[in-house]
Amino acid sequence: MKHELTLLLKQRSIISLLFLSLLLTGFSLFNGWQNISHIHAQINEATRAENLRKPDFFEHHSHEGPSDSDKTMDAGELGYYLFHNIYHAPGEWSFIALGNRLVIPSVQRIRLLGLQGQLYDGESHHPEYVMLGSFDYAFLLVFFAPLLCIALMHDLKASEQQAQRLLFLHSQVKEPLYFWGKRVLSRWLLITLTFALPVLVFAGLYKLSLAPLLRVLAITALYIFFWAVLCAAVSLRKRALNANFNAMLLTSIWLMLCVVLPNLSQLWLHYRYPVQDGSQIALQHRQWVHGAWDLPKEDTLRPFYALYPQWKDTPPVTGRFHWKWYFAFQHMADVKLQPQIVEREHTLMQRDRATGLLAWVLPTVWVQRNLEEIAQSNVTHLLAHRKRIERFHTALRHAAYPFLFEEKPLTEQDFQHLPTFESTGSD
Amino acid sequence: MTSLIWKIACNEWCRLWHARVPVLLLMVLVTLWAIAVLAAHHHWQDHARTVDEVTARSQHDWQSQPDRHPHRVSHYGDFVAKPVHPLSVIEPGILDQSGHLVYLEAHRLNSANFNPATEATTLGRFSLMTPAMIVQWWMPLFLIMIAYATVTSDKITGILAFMRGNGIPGWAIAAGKWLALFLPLLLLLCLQALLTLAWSWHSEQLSVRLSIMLLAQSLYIASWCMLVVTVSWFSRQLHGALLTLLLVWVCVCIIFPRGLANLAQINHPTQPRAEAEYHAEAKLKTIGDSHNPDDPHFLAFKQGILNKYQVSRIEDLPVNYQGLLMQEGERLTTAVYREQQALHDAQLAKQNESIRRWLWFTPALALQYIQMAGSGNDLPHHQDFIRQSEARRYQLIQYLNQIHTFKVQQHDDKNTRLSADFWKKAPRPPITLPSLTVSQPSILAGFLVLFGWLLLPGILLFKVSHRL
Repeated sequence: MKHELTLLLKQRSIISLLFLSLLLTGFSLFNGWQNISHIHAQINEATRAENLRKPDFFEHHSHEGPSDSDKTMDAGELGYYLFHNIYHAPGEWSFIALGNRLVIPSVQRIRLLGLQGQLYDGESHHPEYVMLGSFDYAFLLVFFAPLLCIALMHDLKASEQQAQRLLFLHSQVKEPLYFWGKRVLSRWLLITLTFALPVLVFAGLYKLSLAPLLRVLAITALYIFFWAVLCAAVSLRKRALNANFNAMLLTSIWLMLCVVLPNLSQLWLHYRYPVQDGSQIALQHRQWVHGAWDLPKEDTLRPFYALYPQWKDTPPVTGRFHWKWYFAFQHMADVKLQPQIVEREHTLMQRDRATGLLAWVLPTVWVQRNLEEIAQSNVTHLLAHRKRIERFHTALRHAAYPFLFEEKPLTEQDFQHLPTFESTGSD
Repeated sequence: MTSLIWKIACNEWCRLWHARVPVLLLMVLVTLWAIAVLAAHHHWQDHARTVDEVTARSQHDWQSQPDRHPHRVSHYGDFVAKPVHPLSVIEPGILDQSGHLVYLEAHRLNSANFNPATEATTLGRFSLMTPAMIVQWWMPLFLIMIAYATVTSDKITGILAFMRGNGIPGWAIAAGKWLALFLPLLLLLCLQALLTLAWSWHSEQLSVRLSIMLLAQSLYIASWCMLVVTVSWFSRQLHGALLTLLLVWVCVCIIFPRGLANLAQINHPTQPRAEAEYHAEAKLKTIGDSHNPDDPHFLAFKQGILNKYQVSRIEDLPVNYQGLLMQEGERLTTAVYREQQALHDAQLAKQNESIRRWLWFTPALALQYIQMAGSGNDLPHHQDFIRQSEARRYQLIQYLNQIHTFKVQQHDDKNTRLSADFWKKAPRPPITLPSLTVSQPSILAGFLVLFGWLLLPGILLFKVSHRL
């Protein structure tokens, strides 16, 4: 093995290829890290700004009480005017695969109005950048590592034949399996190292936790091993003496595994599990919310009180407008949309599960999916994030309802005790 | 001389035909192409159907509104969907990433929402297979596999020396080889363009958009053919030629485009939308607060109105003061929101500028810019859509505010319901496809790079073709 390695490392072209790979891996990690720290900075900045804004808001929207400390605020105004920040915070290892973090807003704001009208607000990213995709570790491993394997291993037998050593080697080697195995393993080791070393350095530098690191390393080693075996199988065939044919065959396999098959799977997935476009939800939500203005107030309040009997006996709505009724129909729109939302979520989960099954057949998908799992940037994490937002929205509603329905004003203390996204965020 | 070049090209075809593998590869390429067309067509159909459904439903919902107060209608708002050009079948561009629905509402500037990329599973992270991608990525790759040996093998067998010895100039051999590679691929490109032309015959601006795409594709493929012949001439060994070409391909098609976009994002990161909204609201507060009776801006506004109508009290105005206030408020908020939008556009422009500075590295990205512009799926087209929908929003809301001002009696404002006919006649101009000039900078940059990439291997080839 030692001789194999020295033999390999004496070739200038191999050294330069390995060096290029090291460089690209370093860049991909740096790029992922930079993106994630940008998200962290955004979240910190938004938190800071919100902390400054909240007392200001109370000051601006409160009404004079008997003394200065008795200032109070109307719960309806609070619900309508106050935006609350919600954060899609990255995990420790999110830099390894940016996944859908490129499109999901890391800072979003919601208020007490109907959630479904606010949940899907987009982020103002650069769409062309998102389309081209992120240059993260997952991309480099999935797309580039196989090419490196092909470059280093497509001519195992053929290069010996070219140098007219093949017959000599065969006559010398007692166990060809052991001999070629060593060759393949030494190459596998070098390629794996060019990917693993930067990750290790990064993990050491930023003191990242161990379990995900081991998983990433294991995935890397396994995936490169898969390609090493594939390349060996092609280039050690009985009559694998044409290096160029091997290279073309392996490149075609790469093309199939990295592009054609994932695309066909996606096509099948969308055909098999069609999802209602989100725009239908937005349109329907508007109909429910704005339709309520033209209905008798009883039509909104009766079903609402059926859900929340504790507010049933609060003072009735008699005037043309009351916040009570306003927030009741906002919530009822969400309630009426619930079946559609559940259905969509269910289909998205089915799509994800089907992708999981496909991942057992397509190693490229398996790697991408597992790395996204570690980085928490898959569609399941998006759905979990939406659930968290929903929980926060519910907590907020429940905190505001007593003031709203019993028509009592909020004091500054009540205002400060409103739930925040962080306090309801954890599972 | 032309007949000589032609003869060399014919000879090359004969050889490629007899070698079997090139023909096989070409068939695989065409199969991939067919799959890509199928996938892209399905994708396009999905989008087009969504857009149609949304437009129809939005129109129906709007028209079937009952009698309402005009301010209710301006909060009811309007949905617009981004139209999809049939050429998106060739290059969907940012269709999946940009969001295709905007909610137009009084005093709000909403984002374009609902992009399939957000809810995609892991499979969504693999690049989409489209006809444009076939031309941009796979055609060069197959070209390399088919033709890496074209001159090198002649060199090894001594045929090249023999031909030169017979007085055939090197450049004629180079031209013949290049022609032999380029013509079949050009034929495929023309075929694609013809089929597209027939399929989307009645769509807008088709000829100019399609021809610009075809021109860019031909230039791109021509430069790859040139590159393959050049490298093949430089190399002494077949293996060396293949590996060099593959390395160039990996860099130009896979590493650089992504790398450039990511570098641009690192150097000029975009700000989150939520922050921009807070900024806009803070700024609005400093300009004027219509809820505050002592606000200087609105105090002055009120005085101006009273002077204009020569009355001393708001109650004596012949028009609805609330409506006037809404008009003024909308004017202010719109100015601020448009300013925010311009800031955001400037941020994106910075990224684009940084990408364009390094575009020389990768003709693949240059081609992609032109194809995205051609199919109407690039950033400038999207920004134009946002601008158009914003203009429509402002026009619609101000129309409703006008009605509020002149048709709603002041003393019974809140209880008034106006006839639904007013909404039916509201100005809601349809969103149209902008002319190709919106993406002029990226098209120009793209063509410059493509010409450069044609020139560079051309000069190298001319130089090297003197060698044996």
